[in-house]
Amino acid sequence: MNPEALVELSLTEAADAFRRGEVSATQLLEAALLRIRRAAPSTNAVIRLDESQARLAAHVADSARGTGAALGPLAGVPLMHKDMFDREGRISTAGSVIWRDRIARRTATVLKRLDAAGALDLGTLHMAEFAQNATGHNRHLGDCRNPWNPDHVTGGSSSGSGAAVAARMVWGALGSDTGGSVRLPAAMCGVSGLKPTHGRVPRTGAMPLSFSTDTVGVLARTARDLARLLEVIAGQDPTDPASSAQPVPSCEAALDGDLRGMRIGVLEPGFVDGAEEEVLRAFLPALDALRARGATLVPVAPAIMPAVMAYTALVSRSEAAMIHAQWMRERPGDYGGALAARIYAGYAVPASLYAEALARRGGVLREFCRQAFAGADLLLAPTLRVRVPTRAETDADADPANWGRLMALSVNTRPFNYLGLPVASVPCGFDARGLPVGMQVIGRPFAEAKVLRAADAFQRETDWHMQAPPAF
Amino acid sequence: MPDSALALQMADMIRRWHGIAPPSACAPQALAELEAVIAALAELDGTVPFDCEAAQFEAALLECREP
Repeated sequence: MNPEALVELSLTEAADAFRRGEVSATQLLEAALLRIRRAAPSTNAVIRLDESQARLAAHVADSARGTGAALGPLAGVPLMHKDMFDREGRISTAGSVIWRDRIARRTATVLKRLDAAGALDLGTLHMAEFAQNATGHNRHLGDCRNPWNPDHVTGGSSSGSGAAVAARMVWGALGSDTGGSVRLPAAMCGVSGLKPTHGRVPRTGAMPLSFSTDTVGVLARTARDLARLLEVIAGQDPTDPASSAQPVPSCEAALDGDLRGMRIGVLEPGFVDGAEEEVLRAFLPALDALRARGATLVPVAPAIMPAVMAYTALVSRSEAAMIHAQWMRERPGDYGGALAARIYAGYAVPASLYAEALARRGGVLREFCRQAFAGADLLLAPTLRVRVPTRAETDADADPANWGRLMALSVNTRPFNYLGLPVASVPCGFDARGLPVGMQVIGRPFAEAKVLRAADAFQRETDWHMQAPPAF
Repeated sequence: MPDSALALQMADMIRRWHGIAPPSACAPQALAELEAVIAALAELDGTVPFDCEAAQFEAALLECREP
Protein backbone atom coordinates (compact mmCIF):
# COMPACT_ATOMS: atom_id res chain seq x y z
CA MET A 1 0.00 0.00 0.00
CA ASN A 2 1.38 3.44 -0.86
CA PRO A 3 1.66 6.21 1.76
CA GLU A 4 -1.37 8.08 0.39
CA ALA A 5 -3.53 4.99 0.81
CA LEU A 6 -2.13 4.25 4.29
CA VAL A 7 -3.05 7.64 5.72
CA GLU A 8 -6.61 7.18 4.42
CA LEU A 9 -7.06 4.09 6.60
CA SER A 10 -8.94 4.54 9.84
CA LEU A 11 -7.08 3.86 13.09
CA THR A 12 -8.66 0.43 13.50
CA GLU A 13 -7.99 -0.44 9.86
CA ALA A 14 -4.33 0.56 10.27
CA ALA A 15 -3.94 -1.39 13.52
CA ASP A 16 -5.64 -4.46 12.07
CA ALA A 17 -3.52 -4.28 8.89
CA PHE A 18 -0.39 -4.20 11.05
CA ARG A 19 -1.62 -7.16 13.10
CA ARG A 20 -2.28 -9.17 9.93
CA GLY A 21 1.18 -8.39 8.60
CA GLU A 22 -0.12 -6.36 5.66
CA VAL A 23 1.80 -3.25 6.64
CA SER A 24 4.71 -2.51 8.95
CA ALA A 25 4.84 0.05 11.72
CA THR A 26 7.71 1.68 9.85
CA GLN A 27 5.56 2.06 6.74
CA LEU A 28 2.76 3.61 8.79
CA LEU A 29 5.22 5.97 10.44
CA GLU A 30 6.80 7.04 7.16
CA ALA A 31 3.36 7.68 5.67
CA ALA A 32 2.46 9.83 8.67
CA LEU A 33 5.73 11.76 8.47
CA LEU A 34 5.23 12.40 4.77
CA ARG A 35 1.76 13.81 5.43
CA ILE A 36 2.99 15.84 8.41
CA ARG A 37 5.65 17.50 6.25
CA ARG A 38 2.95 18.44 3.77
CA ALA A 39 0.15 19.48 6.15
CA ALA A 40 1.82 20.76 9.32
CA PRO A 41 3.06 24.10 7.92
CA SER A 42 -0.33 25.28 6.69
CA THR A 43 -2.29 24.04 9.72
CA ASN A 44 0.28 24.79 12.44
CA ALA A 45 -1.04 21.68 14.18
CA VAL A 46 2.25 20.21 15.38
CA ILE A 47 4.21 21.46 18.37
CA ARG A 48 6.79 18.73 18.79
CA LEU A 49 7.83 15.92 16.46
CA ASP A 50 9.66 13.03 18.15
CA GLU A 51 10.72 11.47 14.88
CA SER A 52 13.78 9.50 15.96
CA GLN A 53 12.11 8.01 19.02
CA ALA A 54 9.11 7.02 16.93
CA ARG A 55 11.36 5.37 14.33
CA LEU A 56 12.97 3.33 17.07
CA ALA A 57 9.57 2.36 18.49
CA ALA A 58 8.36 1.37 15.02
CA HIS A 59 11.41 -0.82 14.53
CA VAL A 60 10.77 -2.49 17.91
CA ALA A 61 7.10 -3.05 16.97
CA ASP A 62 8.04 -4.60 13.64
CA SER A 63 10.59 -6.86 15.31
CA ALA A 64 8.10 -7.91 17.99
CA ARG A 65 5.53 -8.85 15.39
CA GLY A 66 8.18 -10.86 13.59
CA THR A 67 8.84 -12.93 16.69
CA GLY A 68 5.17 -13.71 17.19
CA ALA A 69 4.94 -11.67 20.41
CA ALA A 70 1.49 -10.68 21.66
CA LEU A 71 0.40 -7.40 20.06
CA GLY A 72 -1.65 -4.71 21.77
CA PRO A 73 -4.83 -3.32 20.19
CA LEU A 74 -3.01 -0.22 18.90
CA ALA A 75 0.26 -1.92 17.99
CA GLY A 76 2.26 -0.17 15.30
CA VAL A 77 -0.01 2.89 14.96
CA PRO A 78 1.55 6.36 15.28
CA LEU A 79 -0.43 8.82 17.40
CA MET A 80 0.17 12.40 18.55
CA HIS A 81 -1.53 14.15 21.44
CA LYS A 82 -2.55 17.53 22.74
CA ASP A 83 0.52 19.05 24.39
CA MET A 84 -0.74 18.73 27.96
CA PHE A 85 -0.06 15.12 28.93
CA ASP A 86 3.04 14.49 31.02
CA ARG A 87 5.75 12.20 29.75
CA GLU A 88 8.63 11.89 32.18
CA GLY A 89 11.60 13.97 31.10
CA ARG A 90 9.69 15.75 28.32
CA ILE A 91 8.34 19.28 28.15
CA SER A 92 4.58 19.68 27.76
CA THR A 93 3.83 23.35 27.21
CA ALA A 94 0.04 23.35 27.63
CA GLY A 95 0.19 25.86 24.79
CA SER A 96 1.58 28.46 27.17
CA VAL A 97 4.64 30.55 27.88
CA ILE A 98 4.31 29.78 31.58
CA TRP A 99 4.86 26.05 31.04
CA ARG A 100 7.36 26.54 28.21
CA ASP A 101 10.24 24.96 30.14
CA ARG A 102 8.31 22.68 32.49
CA ILE A 103 9.74 19.17 32.34
CA ALA A 104 7.38 16.41 33.46
CA ARG A 105 8.47 14.24 36.37
CA ARG A 106 6.01 11.43 35.65
CA THR A 107 4.13 9.96 32.73
CA ALA A 108 0.38 10.46 32.43
CA THR A 109 -1.69 7.34 33.01
CA VAL A 110 -3.32 7.66 29.58
CA LEU A 111 0.08 7.75 27.86
CA LYS A 112 1.23 4.70 29.83
CA ARG A 113 -1.87 2.84 28.71
CA LEU A 114 -1.41 3.83 25.06
CA ASP A 115 2.24 2.73 25.27
CA ALA A 116 1.15 -0.61 26.72
CA ALA A 117 -1.34 -1.03 23.87
CA GLY A 118 1.50 -0.68 21.38
CA ALA A 119 0.79 2.82 20.01
CA LEU A 120 3.75 4.87 18.80
CA ASP A 121 4.04 8.36 20.32
CA LEU A 122 5.11 10.66 17.51
CA GLY A 123 4.93 13.94 19.41
CA THR A 124 2.60 16.66 20.59
CA LEU A 125 -0.05 18.85 19.02
CA HIS A 126 -1.20 22.45 19.12
CA MET A 127 -3.69 23.51 21.76
CA ALA A 128 -5.35 26.63 23.08
CA GLU A 129 -3.34 28.23 25.88
CA PHE A 130 -4.01 26.21 29.05
CA ALA A 131 -6.87 24.47 27.20
CA GLN A 132 -9.09 27.52 27.48
CA ASN A 133 -10.62 28.60 24.24
CA ALA A 134 -13.11 27.16 21.82
CA THR A 135 -11.28 28.20 18.65
CA GLY A 136 -7.58 27.31 18.55
CA HIS A 137 -6.32 30.88 18.72
CA ASN A 138 -2.97 31.01 20.48
CA ARG A 139 -0.96 34.19 20.89
CA HIS A 140 2.25 32.33 21.75
CA LEU A 141 2.22 29.48 19.22
CA GLY A 142 0.28 31.16 16.45
CA ASP A 143 -3.26 30.05 15.63
CA CYS A 144 -4.04 26.51 14.60
CA ARG A 145 -5.70 26.64 11.18
CA ASN A 146 -8.56 24.55 9.87
CA PRO A 147 -7.43 21.99 7.25
CA TRP A 148 -10.65 22.65 5.29
CA ASN A 149 -9.92 26.37 5.06
CA PRO A 150 -7.04 28.06 6.90
CA ASP A 151 -9.01 31.29 7.33
CA HIS A 152 -11.32 29.43 9.69
CA VAL A 153 -10.75 28.20 13.24
CA THR A 154 -10.13 24.56 14.05
CA GLY A 155 -12.14 24.65 17.23
CA GLY A 156 -10.48 24.24 20.57
CA SER A 157 -9.04 23.70 22.85
CA SER A 158 -7.75 20.42 21.34
CA SER A 159 -7.09 22.35 18.14
CA GLY A 160 -4.07 20.39 16.90
CA SER A 161 -5.78 17.07 17.63
CA GLY A 162 -8.71 18.00 15.39
CA ALA A 163 -6.54 19.40 12.62
CA ALA A 164 -3.99 16.56 12.65
CA VAL A 165 -6.61 13.81 12.48
CA ALA A 166 -8.57 15.63 9.77
CA ALA A 167 -5.46 16.23 7.65
CA ARG A 168 -4.48 12.55 8.01
CA MET A 169 -1.25 13.35 9.87
CA VAL A 170 -2.07 10.75 12.52
CA TRP A 171 -4.78 8.14 13.00
CA GLY A 172 -5.88 9.35 16.42
CA ALA A 173 -5.10 11.80 19.19
CA LEU A 174 -5.82 12.50 22.82
CA GLY A 175 -7.61 15.69 23.73
CA SER A 176 -9.21 17.05 26.85
CA ASP A 177 -12.75 18.31 27.29
CA THR A 178 -13.85 20.68 30.05
CA GLY A 179 -16.55 22.53 28.11
CA GLY A 180 -16.34 21.10 24.60
CA SER A 181 -12.61 20.96 23.90
CA VAL A 182 -12.74 17.56 22.21
CA ARG A 183 -16.15 17.91 20.56
CA LEU A 184 -15.66 21.40 19.12
CA PRO A 185 -12.47 20.65 17.16
CA ALA A 186 -13.92 17.30 16.13
CA ALA A 187 -16.99 19.05 14.73
CA MET A 188 -15.14 21.96 13.13
CA CYS A 189 -12.47 19.76 11.52
CA GLY A 190 -14.86 17.02 10.39
CA VAL A 191 -13.65 14.14 12.57
CA SER A 192 -15.11 12.06 15.40
CA GLY A 193 -14.53 12.85 19.07
CA LEU A 194 -15.54 11.42 22.41
CA LYS A 195 -15.86 13.09 25.79
CA PRO A 196 -16.27 10.21 28.26
CA THR A 197 -18.28 10.12 31.48
CA HIS A 198 -16.79 12.05 34.41
CA GLY A 199 -14.28 9.69 36.03
CA ARG A 200 -14.24 7.15 33.22
CA VAL A 201 -10.68 8.02 32.10
CA PRO A 202 -7.97 8.79 34.69
CA ARG A 203 -6.51 12.28 34.65
CA THR A 204 -3.21 11.72 36.44
CA GLY A 205 -0.54 13.59 34.50
CA ALA A 206 -3.04 15.65 32.49
CA MET A 207 -2.94 19.43 32.87
CA PRO A 208 -5.74 20.48 35.24
CA LEU A 209 -8.20 23.20 34.29
CA SER A 210 -11.30 22.38 36.34
CA PHE A 211 -11.16 19.45 38.74
CA SER A 212 -14.92 18.96 38.63
CA THR A 213 -15.43 19.04 34.88
CA ASP A 214 -12.14 18.02 33.21
CA THR A 215 -12.20 14.85 31.12
CA VAL A 216 -9.59 13.22 28.89
CA GLY A 217 -11.08 12.33 25.52
CA VAL A 218 -10.11 11.06 22.09
CA LEU A 219 -10.34 12.18 18.45
CA ALA A 220 -10.11 9.89 15.43
CA ARG A 221 -11.70 9.23 12.06
CA THR A 222 -14.52 6.87 13.08
CA ALA A 223 -16.70 5.83 16.02
CA ARG A 224 -15.00 2.43 15.89
CA ASP A 225 -11.64 4.15 16.32
CA LEU A 226 -12.98 6.01 19.34
CA ALA A 227 -14.23 2.75 20.84
CA ARG A 228 -10.83 1.12 20.55
CA LEU A 229 -9.02 4.12 22.00
CA LEU A 230 -11.48 4.40 24.89
CA GLU A 231 -11.11 0.75 25.82
CA VAL A 232 -7.36 1.29 26.08
CA ILE A 233 -7.36 4.45 28.21
CA ALA A 234 -10.47 3.97 30.40
CA GLY A 235 -10.72 2.33 33.78
CA GLN A 236 -9.87 2.98 37.40
CA ASP A 237 -6.38 4.16 38.27
CA PRO A 238 -5.13 4.06 41.86
CA THR A 239 -3.17 7.27 41.27
CA ASP A 240 -6.40 9.17 40.43
CA PRO A 241 -8.91 8.92 43.28
CA ALA A 242 -11.55 10.54 41.07
CA SER A 243 -11.36 7.76 38.51
CA SER A 244 -14.34 5.44 38.47
CA ALA A 245 -14.35 1.77 39.43
CA GLN A 246 -17.05 1.07 36.84
CA PRO A 247 -16.01 -1.78 34.57
CA VAL A 248 -15.09 -0.76 31.03
CA PRO A 249 -17.29 -2.61 28.54
CA SER A 250 -16.13 -3.83 25.17
CA CYS A 251 -17.39 -0.84 23.20
CA GLU A 252 -16.04 -2.04 19.88
CA ALA A 253 -17.76 -5.41 20.17
CA ALA A 254 -21.10 -3.63 20.61
CA LEU A 255 -20.91 -1.91 17.21
CA ASP A 256 -23.46 -3.83 15.17
CA GLY A 257 -25.08 -1.06 13.13
CA ASP A 258 -28.51 -2.04 14.41
CA LEU A 259 -30.58 0.69 16.10
CA ARG A 260 -33.92 -1.11 16.03
CA GLY A 261 -35.77 -0.51 19.25
CA MET A 262 -33.59 2.45 20.19
CA ARG A 263 -35.34 5.72 21.03
CA ILE A 264 -33.28 8.83 20.40
CA GLY A 265 -34.35 12.16 21.82
CA VAL A 266 -33.69 15.37 19.92
CA LEU A 267 -32.87 18.20 22.33
CA GLU A 268 -34.99 20.92 20.82
CA PRO A 269 -35.25 24.06 22.99
CA GLY A 270 -32.03 26.01 22.68
CA PHE A 271 -29.90 23.31 21.14
CA VAL A 272 -31.79 22.84 17.87
CA ASP A 273 -34.14 25.81 17.97
CA GLY A 274 -31.21 28.17 18.41
CA ALA A 275 -29.10 26.75 15.60
CA GLU A 276 -28.32 28.52 12.33
CA GLU A 277 -30.14 27.41 9.21
CA GLU A 278 -27.04 25.91 7.59
CA VAL A 279 -26.35 23.85 10.70
CA LEU A 280 -29.90 22.50 10.62
CA ARG A 281 -29.57 21.78 6.90
CA ALA A 282 -26.95 19.17 7.89
CA PHE A 283 -28.36 18.12 11.27
CA LEU A 284 -31.97 17.40 10.35
CA PRO A 285 -31.20 14.95 7.49
CA ALA A 286 -28.91 13.13 9.92
CA LEU A 287 -31.99 12.15 11.86
CA ASP A 288 -33.24 10.29 8.79
CA ALA A 289 -29.99 8.32 8.64
CA LEU A 290 -30.58 7.16 12.21
CA ARG A 291 -34.19 6.27 11.40
CA ALA A 292 -32.91 4.22 8.46
CA ARG A 293 -30.96 2.13 10.96
CA GLY A 294 -34.10 1.48 12.98
CA ALA A 295 -34.06 4.24 15.60
CA THR A 296 -37.18 6.12 16.66
CA LEU A 297 -36.65 9.88 17.00
CA VAL A 298 -38.60 11.82 19.64
CA PRO A 299 -38.44 15.47 20.72
CA VAL A 300 -37.04 16.10 24.20
CA ALA A 301 -37.29 19.32 26.19
CA PRO A 302 -35.90 18.94 29.73
CA ALA A 303 -37.32 21.71 31.92
CA ILE A 304 -34.21 21.56 34.10
CA MET A 305 -31.95 23.02 31.35
CA PRO A 306 -31.92 26.61 32.68
CA ALA A 307 -30.51 25.34 35.98
CA VAL A 308 -27.95 23.23 34.13
CA MET A 309 -26.85 26.22 32.08
CA ALA A 310 -26.66 28.57 35.05
CA TYR A 311 -24.62 26.22 37.24
CA THR A 312 -22.40 25.25 34.30
CA ALA A 313 -21.35 28.88 34.06
CA LEU A 314 -19.95 28.88 37.59
CA VAL A 315 -17.91 25.74 38.11
CA SER A 316 -15.07 25.70 35.58
CA ARG A 317 -14.70 29.50 35.81
CA SER A 318 -14.13 29.32 39.56
CA GLU A 319 -11.80 26.36 39.47
CA ALA A 320 -9.68 27.75 36.63
CA ALA A 321 -9.38 31.02 38.55
CA MET A 322 -8.11 29.16 41.59
CA ILE A 323 -5.53 27.17 39.60
CA HIS A 324 -4.15 30.27 37.89
CA ALA A 325 -4.27 32.74 40.81
CA GLN A 326 -0.56 32.91 41.53
CA TRP A 327 0.42 33.42 37.88
CA MET A 328 -2.39 35.92 37.37
CA ARG A 329 -0.90 37.98 40.19
CA GLU A 330 2.75 37.59 39.25
CA ARG A 331 2.87 37.35 35.46
CA PRO A 332 -0.46 38.36 33.91
CA GLY A 333 1.35 39.57 30.79
CA ASP A 334 2.32 36.00 29.98
CA TYR A 335 -1.28 35.14 29.18
CA GLY A 336 -3.12 35.98 25.98
CA GLY A 337 -5.51 38.86 26.62
CA ALA A 338 -8.75 36.95 26.07
CA LEU A 339 -7.63 34.06 28.24
CA ALA A 340 -6.51 36.35 31.04
CA ALA A 341 -9.90 38.05 30.95
CA ARG A 342 -11.72 34.75 31.07
CA ILE A 343 -9.74 33.61 34.09
CA TYR A 344 -10.12 37.04 35.68
CA ALA A 345 -13.93 36.86 35.66
CA GLY A 346 -13.74 33.67 37.67
CA TYR A 347 -12.59 35.65 40.72
CA ALA A 348 -15.91 37.48 40.76
CA VAL A 349 -18.01 34.34 41.27
CA PRO A 350 -19.11 34.22 44.93
CA ALA A 351 -17.82 31.16 46.77
CA SER A 352 -21.30 30.34 48.06
CA LEU A 353 -22.67 30.08 44.51
CA TYR A 354 -19.75 27.95 43.37
CA ALA A 355 -20.39 25.65 46.33
CA GLU A 356 -24.11 25.59 45.52
CA ALA A 357 -23.40 24.60 41.93
CA LEU A 358 -21.33 21.66 43.15
CA ALA A 359 -23.62 20.65 45.99
CA ARG A 360 -26.66 20.55 43.72
CA ARG A 361 -24.84 18.84 40.86
CA GLY A 362 -26.04 15.36 41.81
CA GLY A 363 -29.63 16.48 42.17
CA VAL A 364 -29.54 18.35 38.88
CA LEU A 365 -28.09 15.30 37.13
CA ARG A 366 -30.81 13.05 38.58
CA GLU A 367 -33.52 15.44 37.44
CA PHE A 368 -31.98 15.90 33.98
CA CYS A 369 -31.83 12.13 33.49
CA ARG A 370 -35.40 11.71 34.78
CA GLN A 371 -36.68 14.31 32.31
CA ALA A 372 -34.46 13.68 29.30
CA PHE A 373 -34.02 9.92 29.34
CA ALA A 374 -37.54 8.94 30.44
CA GLY A 375 -38.53 8.35 26.83
CA ALA A 376 -35.13 8.16 25.17
CA ASP A 377 -32.06 5.95 25.30
CA LEU A 378 -29.79 8.63 23.84
CA LEU A 379 -30.01 12.33 23.03
CA LEU A 380 -28.95 14.34 19.97
CA ALA A 381 -27.99 17.96 19.45
CA PRO A 382 -25.85 19.94 17.01
CA THR A 383 -22.33 20.31 18.38
CA LEU A 384 -22.33 23.99 17.45
CA ARG A 385 -25.28 26.28 16.89
CA VAL A 386 -23.30 28.24 14.32
CA ARG A 387 -21.18 27.52 11.28
CA VAL A 388 -17.42 27.28 11.73
CA PRO A 389 -16.36 30.92 12.17
CA THR A 390 -13.32 32.59 10.69
CA ARG A 391 -10.24 33.20 12.82
CA ALA A 392 -10.70 36.94 12.37
CA GLU A 393 -14.30 37.11 13.57
CA THR A 394 -13.54 35.23 16.80
CA ASP A 395 -10.19 36.83 17.64
CA ALA A 396 -10.97 38.66 20.87
CA ASP A 397 -7.33 39.66 21.37
CA ALA A 398 -7.44 41.61 18.11
CA ASP A 399 -10.84 43.11 18.87
CA PRO A 400 -12.61 42.73 22.24
CA ALA A 401 -15.89 43.21 20.39
CA ASN A 402 -15.47 39.58 19.23
CA TRP A 403 -15.75 38.36 22.83
CA GLY A 404 -19.42 37.43 22.68
CA ARG A 405 -19.01 35.46 19.44
CA LEU A 406 -16.05 33.58 20.92
CA MET A 407 -17.78 32.64 24.16
CA ALA A 408 -21.00 31.55 22.45
CA LEU A 409 -19.28 28.76 20.52
CA SER A 410 -19.42 26.25 23.36
CA VAL A 411 -23.00 26.86 24.45
CA ASN A 412 -24.21 23.46 23.15
CA THR A 413 -21.30 21.50 24.61
CA ARG A 414 -20.66 22.99 28.10
CA PRO A 415 -23.75 21.67 29.88
CA PHE A 416 -22.70 18.04 29.48
CA ASN A 417 -19.47 18.63 31.37
CA TYR A 418 -21.42 19.89 34.38
CA LEU A 419 -23.71 16.86 34.02
CA GLY A 420 -20.73 14.54 33.59
CA LEU A 421 -22.35 12.63 30.72
CA PRO A 422 -20.61 10.82 27.84
CA VAL A 423 -20.92 12.58 24.47
CA ALA A 424 -19.59 11.82 21.01
CA SER A 425 -19.43 14.35 18.19
CA VAL A 426 -19.57 12.98 14.66
CA PRO A 427 -19.50 14.75 11.29
CA CYS A 428 -22.99 15.12 9.79
CA GLY A 429 -22.46 17.35 6.77
CA PHE A 430 -20.96 20.56 5.42
CA ASP A 431 -22.11 24.15 5.23
CA ALA A 432 -22.32 26.10 1.99
CA ARG A 433 -18.69 27.21 2.34
CA GLY A 434 -17.46 23.62 2.62
CA LEU A 435 -16.80 23.65 6.38
CA PRO A 436 -17.87 20.62 8.47
CA VAL A 437 -20.94 20.40 10.70
CA GLY A 438 -21.01 18.10 13.73
CA MET A 439 -23.69 16.31 15.74
CA GLN A 440 -23.54 15.28 19.40
CA VAL A 441 -24.78 11.90 20.65
CA ILE A 442 -25.32 12.04 24.40
CA GLY A 443 -25.80 9.11 26.76
CA ARG A 444 -26.55 8.30 30.37
CA PRO A 445 -23.54 8.02 32.71
CA PHE A 446 -21.12 5.29 31.63
CA ALA A 447 -23.15 4.56 28.45
CA GLU A 448 -20.19 5.12 26.11
CA ALA A 449 -20.84 1.78 24.41
CA LYS A 450 -24.38 2.83 23.47
CA VAL A 451 -23.26 6.31 22.38
CA LEU A 452 -20.63 4.80 20.11
CA ARG A 453 -23.01 2.17 18.83
CA ALA A 454 -25.35 4.89 17.57
CA ALA A 455 -22.46 6.93 16.19
CA ASP A 456 -21.11 3.89 14.37
CA ALA A 457 -24.53 3.02 12.96
CA PHE A 458 -24.80 6.59 11.68
CA GLN A 459 -21.41 6.28 10.02
CA ARG A 460 -22.46 3.04 8.31
CA GLU A 461 -25.33 4.99 6.78
CA THR A 462 -23.36 8.12 5.81
CA ASP A 463 -19.88 8.99 4.55
CA TRP A 464 -19.30 12.43 6.10
CA HIS A 465 -16.56 11.00 8.33
CA MET A 466 -14.72 9.71 5.24
CA GLN A 467 -14.40 13.13 3.62
CA ALA A 468 -10.87 14.52 3.60
CA PRO A 469 -9.73 18.13 3.23
CA PRO A 470 -8.73 18.54 -0.42
CA ALA A 471 -5.58 20.57 0.19
CA PHE A 472 -3.30 17.66 1.11
CA MET B 1 -22.31 47.42 29.45
CA PRO B 2 -18.59 46.55 29.90
CA ASP B 3 -18.07 49.50 32.24
CA SER B 4 -21.31 49.06 34.16
CA ALA B 5 -21.44 49.86 37.85
CA LEU B 6 -21.59 46.18 38.64
CA ALA B 7 -18.51 45.42 36.54
CA LEU B 8 -16.62 48.19 38.30
CA GLN B 9 -17.68 46.81 41.68
CA MET B 10 -16.53 43.34 40.69
CA ALA B 11 -13.17 44.69 39.51
CA ASP B 12 -12.73 46.43 42.85
CA MET B 13 -13.66 43.28 44.76
CA ILE B 14 -11.23 41.17 42.75
CA ARG B 15 -8.44 43.65 43.42
CA ARG B 16 -9.16 43.60 47.16
CA TRP B 17 -9.65 39.86 47.62
CA HIS B 18 -7.14 38.52 45.11
CA GLY B 19 -4.72 41.32 44.35
CA ILE B 20 -5.39 41.00 40.64
CA ALA B 21 -5.98 43.94 38.32
CA PRO B 22 -7.95 43.81 35.06
CA PRO B 23 -5.42 42.01 32.85
CA SER B 24 -6.48 43.00 29.35
CA ALA B 25 -8.87 44.93 27.15
CA CYS B 26 -11.30 42.00 27.25
CA ALA B 27 -11.63 42.07 31.05
CA PRO B 28 -14.67 44.38 31.06
CA GLN B 29 -16.44 42.07 28.57
CA ALA B 30 -15.66 39.08 30.74
CA LEU B 31 -17.11 40.75 33.82
CA ALA B 32 -20.14 42.02 31.95
CA GLU B 33 -20.86 38.47 30.86
CA LEU B 34 -21.39 37.60 34.52
CA GLU B 35 -24.37 39.94 34.58
CA ALA B 36 -26.21 37.44 32.38
CA VAL B 37 -25.18 34.65 34.75
CA ILE B 38 -26.51 36.63 37.70
CA ALA B 39 -29.81 37.16 35.90
CA ALA B 40 -30.06 33.46 35.09
CA LEU B 41 -29.43 32.54 38.72
CA ALA B 42 -32.03 35.06 39.87
CA GLU B 43 -34.59 33.42 37.60
CA LEU B 44 -33.77 30.05 39.13
CA ASP B 45 -34.28 31.25 42.66
CA GLY B 46 -36.70 28.93 44.39
CA THR B 47 -37.21 26.73 41.34
CA VAL B 48 -34.45 24.19 41.96
CA PRO B 49 -35.89 21.86 44.57
CA PHE B 50 -32.71 20.09 45.56
CA ASP B 51 -30.94 19.53 48.82
CA CYS B 52 -27.31 20.50 48.96
CA GLU B 53 -25.22 17.40 49.53
CA ALA B 54 -21.55 17.80 48.85
CA ALA B 55 -20.74 14.20 47.96
CA GLN B 56 -23.75 13.20 45.93
CA PHE B 57 -22.57 13.75 42.37
CA GLU B 58 -20.56 10.53 42.05
CA ALA B 59 -23.46 8.66 43.66
CA ALA B 60 -25.87 10.24 41.18
CA LEU B 61 -23.67 9.17 38.25
CA LEU B 62 -24.03 5.57 39.41
CA GLU B 63 -27.76 5.88 40.11
CA CYS B 64 -28.42 7.36 36.68
CA ARG B 65 -26.80 4.54 34.73
CA GLU B 66 -29.06 2.58 32.43
CA PRO B 67 -31.66 0.57 34.32
